[in-house]
Amino acid sequence: MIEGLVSATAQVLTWPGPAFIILGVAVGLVVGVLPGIGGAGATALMIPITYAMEPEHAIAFLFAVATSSGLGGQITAILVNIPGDPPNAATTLDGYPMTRAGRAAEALGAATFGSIIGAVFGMAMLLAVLPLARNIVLAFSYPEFFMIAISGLVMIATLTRGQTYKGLIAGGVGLLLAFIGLDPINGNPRFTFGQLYLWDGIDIVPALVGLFAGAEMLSLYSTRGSASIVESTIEGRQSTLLDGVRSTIRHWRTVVVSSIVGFLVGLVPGLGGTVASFMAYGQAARMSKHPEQFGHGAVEGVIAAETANDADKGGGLLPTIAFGIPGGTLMAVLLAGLLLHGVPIGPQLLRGDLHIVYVLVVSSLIPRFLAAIVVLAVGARAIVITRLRGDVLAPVISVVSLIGVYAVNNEVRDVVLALAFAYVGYAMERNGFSRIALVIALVLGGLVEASLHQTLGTFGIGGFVTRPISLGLLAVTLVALLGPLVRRRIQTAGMAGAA
Amino acid sequence: MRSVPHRRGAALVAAAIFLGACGGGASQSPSSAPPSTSPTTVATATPEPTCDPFPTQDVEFVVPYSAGGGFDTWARLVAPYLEEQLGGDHSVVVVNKSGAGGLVGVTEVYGSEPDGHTIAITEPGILATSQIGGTTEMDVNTIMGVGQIAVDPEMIVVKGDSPWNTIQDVQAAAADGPLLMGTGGLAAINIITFDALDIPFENIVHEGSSEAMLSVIRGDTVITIFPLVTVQEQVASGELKPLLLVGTPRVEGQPGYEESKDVPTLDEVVNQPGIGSALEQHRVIVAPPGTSECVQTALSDALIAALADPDFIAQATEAGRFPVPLTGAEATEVIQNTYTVLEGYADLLKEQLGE
Repeated sequence: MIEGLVSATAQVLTWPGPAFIILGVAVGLVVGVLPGIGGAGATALMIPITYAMEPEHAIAFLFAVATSSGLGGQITAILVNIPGDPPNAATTLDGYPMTRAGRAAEALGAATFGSIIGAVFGMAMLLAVLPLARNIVLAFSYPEFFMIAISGLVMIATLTRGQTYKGLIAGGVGLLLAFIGLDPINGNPRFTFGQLYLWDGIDIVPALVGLFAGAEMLSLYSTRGSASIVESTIEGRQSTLLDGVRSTIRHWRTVVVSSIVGFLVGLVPGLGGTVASFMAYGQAARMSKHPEQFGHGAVEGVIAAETANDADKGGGLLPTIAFGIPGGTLMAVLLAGLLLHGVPIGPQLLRGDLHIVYVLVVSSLIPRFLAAIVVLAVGARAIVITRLRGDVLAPVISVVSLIGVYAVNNEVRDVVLALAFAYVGYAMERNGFSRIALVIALVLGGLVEASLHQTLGTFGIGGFVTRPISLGLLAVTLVALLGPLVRRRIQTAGMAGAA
Repeated sequence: MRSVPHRRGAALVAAAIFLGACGGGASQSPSSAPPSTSPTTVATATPEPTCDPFPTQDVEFVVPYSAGGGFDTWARLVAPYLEEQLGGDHSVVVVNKSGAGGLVGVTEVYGSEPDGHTIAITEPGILATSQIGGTTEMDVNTIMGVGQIAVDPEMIVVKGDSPWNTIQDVQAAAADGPLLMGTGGLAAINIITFDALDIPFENIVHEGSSEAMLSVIRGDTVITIFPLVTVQEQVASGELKPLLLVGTPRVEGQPGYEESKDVPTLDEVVNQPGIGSALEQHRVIVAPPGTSECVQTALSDALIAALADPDFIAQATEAGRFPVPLTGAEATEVIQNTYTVLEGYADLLKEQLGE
């Protein structure tokens, strides 16, 4: 395996490979920083310019675009509360509060370092389970998807602790929004008011940009006026990027668990970095000794989200490699690119030469190191913008965000939707409703409903408990949901007994 | 309401262009008249229908699906060659406008100015089904075909180690009750093909073709139908077993031939010649209703020439695709024929699609 990786590295780095990687990283970082078009969309648009490249270089170039966008997206997520790419959404939850508290550099350092570790872990896990790839992919079916989705929804409880009812309301609204579109039973339009636009449901990008960026801009305008993002009361020592690296190492448990969560979610077709990062975030909050700090600048939250949304690529490659069936949008795009180059991927691949697998692994890692250096260099300087006057910053960011929303699908109605969500998000924030609960439900609602129906249509209700993985996931979810209650009961009983 | 002044403005612009074109034509006619033409009286008596120059601006080539898919790949492969054949002065710009299974983008092109500067790549079956189901306001039979790029036959597949080896085995098994079919959403081809074969099914909808194919490989659903190009890899590796081809069989040398050469066609099995070609996936380029024949011809000729370009063919072959070109007039016929065939199943489609 080591020789394989070395020879793959050599091939990827043969001239003009490095030039393509640099180009890909540049493209990826730019689209990543701009909200809207994400890694998958940008990668698809880049496929035609790979026609003339060697297959190895094409892979490296496409991966460079795809993986760098996530690293670019974290800069805006942390500094100005705008996820540049949907998988960066969970990063805003604690990254932005850290910025407001003057800890932007630490957050950037932790996010970048976490990303790299997550990517390496994800690929390591991929190589480790490669011989079992078929069995692993085949072991996950509708009941398992349902349970993974449910365990994600349960995170809402963890994330809205202390405001359970408001959390449930926000989550409920998210579910209602998720049900707009084609129903997963017959594929008929539902709650669409006769609008073709609504057939595909509420897109995550306008929702996210509105709820987070839009709401933030409104509040920059209305409540803080000329104030900057960083609270002016913050004084004393500024955090550094190195603090972030140290925090990441200190929270190594979070890194490991988030990588595993990311890898698992990556396995589920149709899910991806966005869900992976939310689930890892919730898991980190649950494991933390001080969960009340989550959402108020807990560095573990940033680490969890950014680790998971890079580890998911390893899981996403598994169905792609094992069956030639992509495990997500990004993989679908990469696969399309590889097929254009006549690269054999899918079942033949595992039986014979693993060269292409090594090329995939190496290609996904090399650009990331390069991108990380750029992100750290640029990000450290970009922190300046958080000290700009709000009424200068807000119009610029608003325009860039809305253009980004439009660019995803060349759709003006997406912009209108984002504006509507901006007011919703602003109202939610002011009244203590969790926006994140809404987003989690919006992202997972479709999968919950579809996999429930698919399970009932194939395995029947028994499928949830007769399949070991599904049953295991159910048990974990129940423990997570009921554990705190039971513990409190025992404690009260213990105290009563003592008294 | 807003469209009225817009239309009027557009009409003025069109008139201005027309006048300009006439002026240009008049000034050019002495020099460009071929020497063999007989004296002027004949020419004024039966004026030749002269065409305005086309294109006069960039051509927006709408892909009604997201980037990276099959239609998108074709559009991006062909766009540069189409641009070259249209003279190269104006760009052919590929724009992704996905939504509603391809209807959003086509609907927009349908309602745009019929001057040939807005065209879309689409599939007649989707358009016909949506009109029959009443989900679109478009009248498919008025759409102007610009040409066809390719045709993809579809393949019924089961799991590689399934006990069924022929479509007759499946028919026999289906006598005991409906089979679980994994789909990425019910389409006319699923409904009509399985009705023709008399195989009742229960539809398990998935997010997309990937998820549906995996469900068959896992054995959670037992049968499905997808374009040959989609299942080709998995058939070649033995994960999926091909049982029936719906559409035009591949000939030797074409991609997918090896995977489909021993498979019977729907036409043979149900003895209805032509049913398969009405159901398979035609990738056509369309322009809005009311597009002039001049523009249609210009686009059609350019497309045919682009698809015959050896560089294009080499590039497409490398991507495992090959073009099956048709002219604009022929593509229009394909669209209308698809509608006629599917309309014959209107009741069945409405019932199954739950309208």
